[in-house]
Amino acid sequence: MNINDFNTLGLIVLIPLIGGIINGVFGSKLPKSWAPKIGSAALALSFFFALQSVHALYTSKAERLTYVAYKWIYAGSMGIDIAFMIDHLSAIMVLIVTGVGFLIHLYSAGYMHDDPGEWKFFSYLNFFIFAMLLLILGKNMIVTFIGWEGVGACSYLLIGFWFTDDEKAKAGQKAFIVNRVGDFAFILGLFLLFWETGTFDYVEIAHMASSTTSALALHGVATAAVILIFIGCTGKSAQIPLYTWLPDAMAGPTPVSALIHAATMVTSGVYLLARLNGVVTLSPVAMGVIALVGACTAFFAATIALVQTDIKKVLAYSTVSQLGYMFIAIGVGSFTGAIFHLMTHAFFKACLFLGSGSVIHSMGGEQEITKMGGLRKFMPITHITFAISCLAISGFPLLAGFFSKDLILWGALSNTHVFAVEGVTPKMIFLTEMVAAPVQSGAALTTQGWVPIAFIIAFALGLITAGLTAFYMFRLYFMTFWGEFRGDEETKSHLHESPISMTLPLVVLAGLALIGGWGGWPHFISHWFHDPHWMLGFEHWLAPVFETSDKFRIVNRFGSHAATQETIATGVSVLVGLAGISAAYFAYVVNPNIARRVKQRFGTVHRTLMAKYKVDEFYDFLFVSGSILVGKIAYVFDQFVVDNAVNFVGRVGESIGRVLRNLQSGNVQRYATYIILAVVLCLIAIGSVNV
Amino acid sequence: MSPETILFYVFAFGALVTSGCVVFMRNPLMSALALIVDFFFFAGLYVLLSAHFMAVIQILVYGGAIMVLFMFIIMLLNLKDHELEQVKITSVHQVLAVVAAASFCGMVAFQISGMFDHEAIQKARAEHVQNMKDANDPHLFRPAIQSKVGHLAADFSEDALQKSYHAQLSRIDAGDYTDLDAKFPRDQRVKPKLPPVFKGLDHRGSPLPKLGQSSKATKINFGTAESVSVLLVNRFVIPFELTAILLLAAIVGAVIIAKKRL
Amino acid sequence: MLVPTLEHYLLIAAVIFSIGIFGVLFRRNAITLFMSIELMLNAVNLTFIAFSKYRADLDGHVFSFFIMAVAAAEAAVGLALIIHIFRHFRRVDVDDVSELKF
Repeated sequence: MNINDFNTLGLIVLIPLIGGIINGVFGSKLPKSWAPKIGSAALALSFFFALQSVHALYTSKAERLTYVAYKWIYAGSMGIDIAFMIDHLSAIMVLIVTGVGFLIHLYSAGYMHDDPGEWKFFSYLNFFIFAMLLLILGKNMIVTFIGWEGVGACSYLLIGFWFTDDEKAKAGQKAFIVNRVGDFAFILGLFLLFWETGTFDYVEIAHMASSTTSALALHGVATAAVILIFIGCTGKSAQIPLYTWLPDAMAGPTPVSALIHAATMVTSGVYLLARLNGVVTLSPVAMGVIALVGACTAFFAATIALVQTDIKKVLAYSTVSQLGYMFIAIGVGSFTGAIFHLMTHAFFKACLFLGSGSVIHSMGGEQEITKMGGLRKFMPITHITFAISCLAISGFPLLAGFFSKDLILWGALSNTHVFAVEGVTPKMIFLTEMVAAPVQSGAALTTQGWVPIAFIIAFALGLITAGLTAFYMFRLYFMTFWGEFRGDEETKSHLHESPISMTLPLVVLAGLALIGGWGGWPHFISHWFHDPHWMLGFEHWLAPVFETSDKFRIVNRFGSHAATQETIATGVSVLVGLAGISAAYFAYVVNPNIARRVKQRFGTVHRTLMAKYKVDEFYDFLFVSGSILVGKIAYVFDQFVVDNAVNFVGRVGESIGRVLRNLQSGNVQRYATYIILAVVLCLIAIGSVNV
Repeated sequence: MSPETILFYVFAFGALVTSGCVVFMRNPLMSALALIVDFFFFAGLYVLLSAHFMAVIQILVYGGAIMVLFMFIIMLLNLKDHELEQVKITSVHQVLAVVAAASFCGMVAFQISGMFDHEAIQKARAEHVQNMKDANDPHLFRPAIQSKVGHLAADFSEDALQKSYHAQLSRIDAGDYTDLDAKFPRDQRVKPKLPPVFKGLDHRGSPLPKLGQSSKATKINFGTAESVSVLLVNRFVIPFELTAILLLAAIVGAVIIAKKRL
Repeated sequence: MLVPTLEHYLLIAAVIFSIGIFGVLFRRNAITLFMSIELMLNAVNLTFIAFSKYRADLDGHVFSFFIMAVAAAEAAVGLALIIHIFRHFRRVDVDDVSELKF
């Protein structure tokens, strides 16, 4: 198969769509047991073709495989195709989406077994996968945007899946509306980029960003475009200030939370920025902003997660926090770290969510961890997998989270940003001032002094967050699985391990959480083994995609001391993580009174955190009430000014008509008279010309 | 004062008066009778214009067929006196109608009189009278006096008209189609398959007499039945046949509309 | 008195045409109205024939011929319509037929 006509990509995308259509159109007519089978089979096929594509990509040694499915919009110099592309970046994403998606479909077959709307659920899930694959495999930003909106719509449908519950329906609407705010900025950024580059194609944009002249031209709009696109990402990937929908989105079924709101959709912002890495790195300011926003989100969400008692809410805030990590990585230019963390996070967070779903399933719908406890005796598989994932997210050495998180923290500590172009060695002054040697155009572009400082702040907040993450995750773990059962006897008697279709995905995901990070060992460790290819496999794999930006614009501030630096960063973060775990152990297992006393001692802080900083209420006050006020003013304006103006125009027409209607009597003779008079006028006109 | 001039004024005056009667008579029966007389005056004017064939047709078709139809209808409807309208101005619209008709008449008359150079006509005619006196011949040939519009004479005596017409026919017989081409430019590339009569042949294929000299060895005169019918079965043969269809359609339509039940 | 020229014929035709117009616009009796139309057609015929003579061109006669044919057809159909109107309204006033609005 030709590299430019790799139609397997079309199959990957098409199969979930077909599955979704079959389930959506015929689902209610087909036997009930068919829906999960059709849905899962579609994903299995899609995963198979994804594997085949990645294999083809690997064996062909090509930079990317593309497939133009349909020539869509052609106007002037602009051409938009429904085109797909798989390169080393989207290969990872497509495997995560179809692979994890398949496992979650499998899990849903067990979880949603008793739901009458099962066919609808699987239809939505398949549509979601379809849209997500469009987003990932799109060769241009328009296809990505279609997918972007598609996943938003599916997310809305799935959050409000149990729409008879008003609360859940509203959570769906909230997610949709908040995302809309982001999408608005996103599409603006997209067109700004188009305005400058004249193309929507990722490859062409990347090409422009990597060549000297066009990069300098692009530099002018890069800050605005990247920040606008980043605002779109804050909506989809739940960052400050648009993160508020994600915790509420937990109203959806748990597999949905696992698939959409942990593993795949919410990471699409990260993916998009990584995809546009060439443009992102053109703007140091935007990178600084991204890093800071990511760091603040990570820290902020982690503090809220400390006190939440709803098992899914904790995981939701944890997701927001981890997404913050990924944005730190984007911001500091460690794109590999971002994608690496995206992948490992997909494994352990999906596992955590599915584990929590298993727990909720067993608890008969109960989500409060204060009513759980001691569940490890009843649900051994769920317990083990949950524990592994908790360790992974806490950055316990040799588990997935350890590698990815440390890569990010190291990046934040050591990376700095210079705008320089090929063939020019940047000169650096520590921390505050970066000077690139004169570029070919003759102008030296320097980064803002605060950007490196922002990177350091991001590192600090990231480090603290690592500790907090370890603490709240293990608080959750200990309160759920350790100690005595705190619920009622009725519930206790029903406690059971989940069926195989639910535990199998758990085991697979826990296995991935265990070993999923082994493709990206810290460099100082790989040095001991003389850098075998597999130990840095992830970095090598992604290198072609991030080559330009990594090589010419992101520089390691410490140069030859990088290895030492990495050792220190890793060591510190591991220590902080372990400290978090031990703190949780002491506070919730050894002596539960400590937690209670701390809670009493810092009552105000606790209440603030419980109320999630009252951000929702603030938004409600600022935007919702504000909108209503504006609406009222507009209503008055509409009633008195616009309506009157419109009515006036109408009345003028009516009055003229009332006068003119006399002309139209229906009497043919009068009409004839008018005709003759008109002829006379014509004759006069002709005569006056001749004479 | 030649007899033609006297006749012209008689016919013209009669036509105007009877036309007025048609419009102003309260009883449509009277209007119809006035119209019949009017048509006779028109026929007289046609004769003065050397349109003998048309004058006959006018009397036959209009005065005979159409007006008989009108009379039939009027008598059939048999309108009572109180059902007839008063010819009086009763509304603004009727004032407008008077204004429209009068101003139309004025404007058209103004335009027409602008077409002619009255002084030139008077002068040419005076010259001719002078010539006539000098030659002492009352039938002295009077050339046409051109109007301001191309190819259009302002004054055309009968003998001048016939002479000009015969000249045209001779040119056509000689194969010079300049006159026709001026009116109907012929496409040289298209050679339509024409019926024999167009090639100057009759239906047996024997040559037809030339237009310039009829079979009676006298020339065809302008406005006779022969001269008009030559045109009707030649250049205008298709409209002529279509007229038959039109009349058929009119008959069918009239029957359908007027009949109570079909 | 002047010898008649083309101008005279045209002027007579114009006046009679205007009289016809007047009849069409003014009279309400449908039959009279119709006769006014015939008057206008005749005025046009006169114009055609006058031009025909002064151009020494017979085409005008042919046109008049066709106009007469059309006038005959029109008279047949129009009078049929008048009969129809009469059946409906019991009179032939064109003011009754004023549905040509809205």
